[in-house]
Amino acid sequence: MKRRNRVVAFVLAVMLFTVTAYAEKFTPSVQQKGAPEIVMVNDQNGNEVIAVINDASGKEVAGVPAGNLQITPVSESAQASAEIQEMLENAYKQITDSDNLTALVSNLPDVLKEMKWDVPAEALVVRDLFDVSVIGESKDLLAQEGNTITVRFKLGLASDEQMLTLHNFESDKWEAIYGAKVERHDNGDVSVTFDSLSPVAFAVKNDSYVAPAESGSNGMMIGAIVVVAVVAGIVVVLLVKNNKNKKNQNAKKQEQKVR
Amino acid sequence: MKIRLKRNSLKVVVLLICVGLVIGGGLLVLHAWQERSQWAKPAGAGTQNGVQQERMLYKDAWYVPKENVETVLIIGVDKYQAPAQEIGYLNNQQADFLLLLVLDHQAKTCEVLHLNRDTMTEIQRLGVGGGEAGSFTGQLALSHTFGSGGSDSCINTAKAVSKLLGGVKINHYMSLTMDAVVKINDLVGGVTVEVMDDFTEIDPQLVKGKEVRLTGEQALAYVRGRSGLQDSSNLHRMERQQQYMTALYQQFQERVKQDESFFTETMVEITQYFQSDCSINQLEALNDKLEGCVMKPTRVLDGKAVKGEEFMEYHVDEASLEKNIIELFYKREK
Repeated sequence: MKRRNRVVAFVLAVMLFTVTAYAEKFTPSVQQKGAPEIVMVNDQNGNEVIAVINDASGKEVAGVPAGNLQITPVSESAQASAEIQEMLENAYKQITDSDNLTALVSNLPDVLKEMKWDVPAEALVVRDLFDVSVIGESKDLLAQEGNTITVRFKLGLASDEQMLTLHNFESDKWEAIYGAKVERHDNGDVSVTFDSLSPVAFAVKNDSYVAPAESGSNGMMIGAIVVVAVVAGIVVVLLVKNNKNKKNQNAKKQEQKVR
Repeated sequence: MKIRLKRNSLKVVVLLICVGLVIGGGLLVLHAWQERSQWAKPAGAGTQNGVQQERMLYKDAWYVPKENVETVLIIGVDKYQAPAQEIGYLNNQQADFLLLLVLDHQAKTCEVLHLNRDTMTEIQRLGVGGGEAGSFTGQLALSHTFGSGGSDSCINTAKAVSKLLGGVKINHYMSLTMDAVVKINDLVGGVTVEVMDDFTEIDPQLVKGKEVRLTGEQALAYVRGRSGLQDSSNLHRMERQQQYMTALYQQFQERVKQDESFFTETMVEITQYFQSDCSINQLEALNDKLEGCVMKPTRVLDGKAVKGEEFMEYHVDEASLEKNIIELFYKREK
């Protein structure tokens, strides 16, 4: 009983210690954001917009006002519309059910080669998953044939840090967005150009990924050991033989001398 | 020299090859075992991020890690228990309070290091599915927001603290949400105190000098409140806290005397808001160790609080960090 009471006292003391610290909050505290922040940019008229819609030739069609673009992180999918929730949950399931992102984008190894990113596909992990949607006039503009939308994300990527954008454009279909459709900025922001909008994932390298031991190295070792064993065997036999021959020769010489 | 491999010699060669293969096979097994042992994690609990230096040069003297040191990270989460999330890899439960207990079992001392939640340090990001997805420099409080809010978040927080402190191992963690305060208070049927300050702006019932049986929410306000009171000093708040804790503990003891199962029931109730990698027996053992220790004054890392782009940032002074790491975890090399 006494020991139990001591445990409770300990926990209560910890609890009180914990609680009293909360009152120290007099300064604005950091808040976690569920999805990458979108950076406002300027359209061709100098107006601040949240994204830009271009036509097939790359000419600006219109800027997207801040209120016309919605970003929903997967952690907040339950608060989103039924349609967005379903898309996000579907995308999340596909990502978590797959051992390897190649299951989503079958030509991923080729993509990584083109990006000159020396990393195996199985080393990639999805860092962020969120839905991007446009509403109102922006939605109609984007739906027009050939139009694209460019969104700038605040990712804080280091200059030597690589990142791959994956877009779940339809049900169980994914595309990798890279090359000319992705622009890296000096401050770590990344601008991505989409043909359409739906769940987006950013993938990075898993720092703790360890490549499995290559079976080839074991095979080579076996081969090396066998060769060494065989050579050793032959050398030993030759030495023994040589010794025997010498002894025989010496014995014969002795015999001849005696005669 | 002619070499003629007669039958006997051939037998010897074959025998020697077989011996060689056996030896080779043994070497191969040894190689495979050595490879596997590199993957095997060392036994024992604890979280570590990086490698603690085996020797440190500090003020022209060499220091080596102390032996028999045990660390416990206490995490205060600034939210009530979050509703269960079916999907997601981020939560909104920041580690708003971080305290590291450092028990030196040889010296029989317990040191307390209070870490500022806004300490800028390297934090591991967890991606979808919990995999490590890079790291970034951010406020220490954010380390707990990666993961489900459960043990994965606590471990991620322990990793951030370990990294900050040069790779020292964090042996255990405990985390509490605000629900625990409310729950225990209400489980004992409320705690009666003579209100020491005028809290009428917060709650009209909390009149100074009046005897009030505090509900859970009232208790929270009573022990946390400081701003707007006549005496807003922390010292005076600590007096209220001691008053409340004494009353709560007495109330708890009375309930246990009346009903022996009350202790177990309380622990079961707290379990929902209390997370730890320690079992109840380990908690008891930890408590015993604490009782046998000399408590030293609380340490804080010196630094500078500045307003960042959006939020407060605390930049630790490197000299203070090094000094505290040396004093807490190292001893002078003989």
